[in-house]
Amino acid sequence: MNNNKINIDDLFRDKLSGLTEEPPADMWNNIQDQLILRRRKIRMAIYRWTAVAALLVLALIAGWYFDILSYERIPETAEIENIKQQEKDISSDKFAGKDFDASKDIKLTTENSESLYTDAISGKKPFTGASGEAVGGQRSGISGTISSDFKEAGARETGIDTKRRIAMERIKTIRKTSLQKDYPLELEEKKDATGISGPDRMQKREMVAVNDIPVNREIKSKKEEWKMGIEISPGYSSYSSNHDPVYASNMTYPSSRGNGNVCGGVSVQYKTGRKWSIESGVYYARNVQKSESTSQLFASNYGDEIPAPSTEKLYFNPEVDVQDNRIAMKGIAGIIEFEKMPEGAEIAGTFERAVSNPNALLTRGEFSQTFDFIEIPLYLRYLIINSKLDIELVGGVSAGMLVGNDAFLNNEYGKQKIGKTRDISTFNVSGTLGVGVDYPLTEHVSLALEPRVNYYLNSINNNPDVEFRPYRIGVYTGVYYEF
Amino acid sequence: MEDLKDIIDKCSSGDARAQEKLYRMFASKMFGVCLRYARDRSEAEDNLQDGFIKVFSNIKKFRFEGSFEGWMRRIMVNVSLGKYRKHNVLIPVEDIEKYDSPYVSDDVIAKLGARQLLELIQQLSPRYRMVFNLFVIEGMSHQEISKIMNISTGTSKSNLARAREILKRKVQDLYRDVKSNKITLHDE
Repeated sequence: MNNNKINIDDLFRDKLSGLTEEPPADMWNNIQDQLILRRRKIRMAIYRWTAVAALLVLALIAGWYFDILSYERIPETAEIENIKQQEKDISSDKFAGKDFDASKDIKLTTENSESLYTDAISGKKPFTGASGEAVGGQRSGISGTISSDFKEAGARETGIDTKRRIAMERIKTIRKTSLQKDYPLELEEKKDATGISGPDRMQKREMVAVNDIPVNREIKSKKEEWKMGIEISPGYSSYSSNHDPVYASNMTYPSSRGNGNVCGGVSVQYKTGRKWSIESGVYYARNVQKSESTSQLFASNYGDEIPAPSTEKLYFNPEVDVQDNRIAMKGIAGIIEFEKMPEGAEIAGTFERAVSNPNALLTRGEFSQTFDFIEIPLYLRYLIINSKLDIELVGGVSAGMLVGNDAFLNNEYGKQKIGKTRDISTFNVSGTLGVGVDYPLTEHVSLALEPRVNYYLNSINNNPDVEFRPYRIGVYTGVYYEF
Repeated sequence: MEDLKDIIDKCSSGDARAQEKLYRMFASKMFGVCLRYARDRSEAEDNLQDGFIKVFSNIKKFRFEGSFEGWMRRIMVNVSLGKYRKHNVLIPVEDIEKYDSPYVSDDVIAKLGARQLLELIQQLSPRYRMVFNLFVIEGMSHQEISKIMNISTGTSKSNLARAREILKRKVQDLYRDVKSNKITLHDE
């Protein structure tokens, strides 16, 4: 090494590695403010997620509760009716003093309940009028049989209460067995096999039909618990926003035109009860926010030395920050970071403002900030009207994951992707409310039409100066398959 | 005097007084780090603020396995690099294969002050400044720099060569100015 030469690396390392410099006095206050703001944000996020979790738990509990309720309601009603009927039979004076074959009665088990029922229907055993007619179908057959047995055996048995107890136990056992096999078609076949003559058989069939309506409903609702659907929705997207006054004084103008878009996805519903169901799925949704070029509102006073901008161009109102080969501009949804200089645009001094970046983007065209989300919903559905056209209320929350964040300029050179919006949160939560109309096309396939409103519960922009919550109104149209 | 470990522990539980104490202990050193990576004082202040917020947010993760100052310094460097990555998408990349000597003649240059040298570093374009700082001051290899900056090792080498070239020229200019009494050396 030449002694007259020094290593430039060593020179800088020696002088700068231990460099100390006192930061500005107010630095700590700024840091403290930021820490407080951050803590508040974290706390708000915790509250928000706690609320969402509570909502989900409530939805699950509600679904479970209504599910249990719907299972319990019908069997309870049936049991009360049957017990009353049986008691009426037993206590009636029709079996009192008549023959009762106790030993035969006791031998009857669930295995021979069907023949017992058949006997009753066919009239092989005496079937006493009032009690038998009052109870329809299978259950009426059973009660009829028992009452007829009681009628035959009455005088031989000394303990009426014992017989009643035995009879009640048998009814319960038989009903339990018969309910497990309780399909109307089978009942009809059995009745036909018994060979009941014309009017009697018709009467019995009617009774069976009337008595089995709730059972049929139960079977139907149990049979079709799942529903899968594919949906598409033309919609309108807009936003609610709130900006820091300094930010708002220098941002793009919102477009007067509406923002149409198309969303869609697949959904799965699970029926938790007769009226309640839970829905989830995967949806794609797009929210668009547009900004227009503004007229040369602030640029009308030109001096002799300042040429007026071309009339072919339009001024953009906000200042454009041009530093370090980057361009940034304040948009409604947040700061737009340019990745390149768009075609058909130029940057010029505005002359109107005494600010640090007195530049504006001159262009004819329209900026748009688009956000694409994949949404995973958890909705609760309540069936309001159950008829030919089912009408449901739908509501719930969705986790919206940002999958696309683009900014475009649409001008005479076409729609150009120019960059993206800064500080957009990747994970968001939205709430949805809607009303659905469901029209069955076949036994398993139905057509649905569902207007929904979807509103983001959090600001999708993390910048404290920008609160931007997009919302979407859409008419979801789809086909569902039940299984 | 309160032990650094106690202060760090208190900071972990969000004690504002401990946070202020820690800030007062390290602010000037960390500001020196930020100044080297920033283009000006204003950017260095922003980086220092963001860096300290990051330090306090992540202080629970510090396992006392190394120097706390080193850990903090690394955060400041990362914040500066993060800002560089965020704000320099349009910088053209030039792969200059020339790799020259780091030596400059005339050892009188060694008498230049830290403030003047800092200004020279800040005048470098962001990419050169980052590579020069990481290589010369932080002692990283070109391979480490290429990973951290997402560039090739060749680019890292050529950037360093270019940075040295510019600095040598600027140092000599500065030295000439000093010799001709156009400027004075504040740090001597």
